[in-house]
Amino acid sequence: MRLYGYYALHSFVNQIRKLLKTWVLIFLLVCALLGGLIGLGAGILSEVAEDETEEIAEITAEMTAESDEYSIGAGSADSDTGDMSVENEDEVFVFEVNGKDATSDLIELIVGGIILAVFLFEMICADKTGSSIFLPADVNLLFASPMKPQSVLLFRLMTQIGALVISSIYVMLQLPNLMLNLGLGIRGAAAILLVWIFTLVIGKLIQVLFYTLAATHTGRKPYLRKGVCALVLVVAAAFFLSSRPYGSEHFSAAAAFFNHKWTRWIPFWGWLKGLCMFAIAGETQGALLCLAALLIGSAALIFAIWSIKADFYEDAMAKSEETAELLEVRQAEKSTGFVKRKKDRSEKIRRDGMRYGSGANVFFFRSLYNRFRFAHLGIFTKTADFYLAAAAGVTALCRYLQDGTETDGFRFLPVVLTLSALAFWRTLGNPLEEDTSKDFFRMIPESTEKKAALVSSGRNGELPA
Amino acid sequence: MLNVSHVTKKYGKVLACDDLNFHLDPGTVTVLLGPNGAGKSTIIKAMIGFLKYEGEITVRDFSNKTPDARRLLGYIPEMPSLYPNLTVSEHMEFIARAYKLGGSVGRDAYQSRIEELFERFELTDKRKKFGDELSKGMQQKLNICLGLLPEPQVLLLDEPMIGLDPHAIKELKSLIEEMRQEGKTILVSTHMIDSVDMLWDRTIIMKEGRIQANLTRDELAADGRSLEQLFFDRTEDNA
Repeated sequence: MRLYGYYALHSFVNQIRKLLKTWVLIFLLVCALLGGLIGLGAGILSEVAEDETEEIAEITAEMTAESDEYSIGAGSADSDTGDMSVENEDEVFVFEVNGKDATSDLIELIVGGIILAVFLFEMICADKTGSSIFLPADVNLLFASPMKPQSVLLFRLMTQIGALVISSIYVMLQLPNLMLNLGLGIRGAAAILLVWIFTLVIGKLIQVLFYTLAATHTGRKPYLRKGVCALVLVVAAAFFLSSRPYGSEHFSAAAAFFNHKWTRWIPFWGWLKGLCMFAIAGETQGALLCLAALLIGSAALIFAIWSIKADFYEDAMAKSEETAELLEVRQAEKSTGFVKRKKDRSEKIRRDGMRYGSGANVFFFRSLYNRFRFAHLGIFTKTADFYLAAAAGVTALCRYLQDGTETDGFRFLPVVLTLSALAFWRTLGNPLEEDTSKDFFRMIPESTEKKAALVSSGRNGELPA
Repeated sequence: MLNVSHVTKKYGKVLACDDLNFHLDPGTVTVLLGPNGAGKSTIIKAMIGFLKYEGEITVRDFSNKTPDARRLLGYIPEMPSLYPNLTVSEHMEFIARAYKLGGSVGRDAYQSRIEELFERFELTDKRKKFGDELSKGMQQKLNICLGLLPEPQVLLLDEPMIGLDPHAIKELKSLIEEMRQEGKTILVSTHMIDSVDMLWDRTIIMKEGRIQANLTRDELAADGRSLEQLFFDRTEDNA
């Protein structure tokens, strides 16, 4: 923890120091200024509007009172001028289903859904390769240190917790809203905050557990996502079967299935949900029981994680060296350094045909040559195929929506051809980036403008795998 | 001190290390030589515990992947990778904390060591520079300092002299000699045979994942060849 605290504090402070040296600070100040002006202006306008509304309400009330005085045997205070009394805005939100108060069920569904989403997300994230978790510096500095691999992993995951912290602040700011408008007491509000914190922590531990297992036993990694999907499908199938008696009352079916009392004892998910709902309902015993289960469960989870004989450094290391090399090259303001492919190319691809061009136009002919030998039919890369399919699909959909009839293939053929041409040129990508960074671009004895123009006109953006 | 026993490592179908066996004695400098792709970096990474492999590697009878072994091991990689948002001095502090060098004494225990390393590698006036503000040579110097800070008993260096200026090379050689005098174990992997010619006690020459030669300086001297001659004999023509 001390190591993490040192790293987090110094990285944060240094990042701010770096920002202060760049235009980003000016940008932030301008945004803050604009935000302040807009907020101030909106506040002033709102006050003026409120004052005017109050004046109108007073005037209208006076007129109503006067008209009542003149009315004979009216008996009612209603008038055609309209009732300007403002509804009670402080009314607590009540969610009703079939005339019954279902607010509690709704809260439980939302809480359970959020917790489940976080856990599933963390499980799926465990599928990542080590290079997307660890920095190159972690490999050199921390992997060799006498820290357990799980400690290094948790250290790195905790530094990625920034977005979660921001969302936690948002949850805290919403607590007064929940208390006032949902009628939650202080215990319910505190329970929601506690459950949120537990969800984040346990979610991270789940990610550590799954990553440790998947990366140590790499043969199991492909089954991780499949396992998560299978779990979701099983739950969805069970819900579908149980919801059939409810017909179209989906909310009632969901509440009956996901909010069943036994679900509050499912490890971690149920305990978190139970803690929240018991606290809101004022059932202290149930809440304390769930809290105890969570604490014991978390301790057991931590013990299990740190007991695994983890060996996932190789998974992180292989890519990190490449990443470090690329970072170094980027620092040197080159677009590419060494080149490396993950997959071997097909043997059928032509490998000896670059015999066109002279002088600066070699860039143009090289680009066209690469497109003709790598792309489908010599024209379409995978990116082009994707854009073409997307364009054709959108066009057909628009036609269908517009006409309400089956699409006529000939009618949108010109559209498809136009979009195909656009897709072809779109996938040329950034024509200047790759070639102009190469040393030989500078060395070829032609004018720079001519070379740049020929690169732009012929460069392939993406080559198919 | 460090024992490599029947270590084999495959990357898919490629056999990077094939049944390697050797031992590093305390108080010795071993030079690991070999052409590109010989498996030098692979075996070093296996020794430090980064890779999965078949066989066994122990450091003073501890398995190399245990924290006990890692406390004894030090590693200086070929390519420096630093945190962009930590300064030079913060990097040192970070490693000191990761290795828990302070113990019960606190920062004083390692602060003088940090100052000594900064002075030897001329980083004193760079201590407030961020990792990404250093030149490649400076990064490599810091890399070396970070590897030496925990005062490891076994130091593995992978191409340590690349990018260093002559002063830094001289200091590094001097430190290696000091460590040898203190009874520590050093393994240096390099292409620059001339740069280590005066340092080594044992040489291991690899080619295509196998050990082609494992000789002490005395054995080579008795053979009447120089290190360079031995290298070319064993890697260009199988003896």
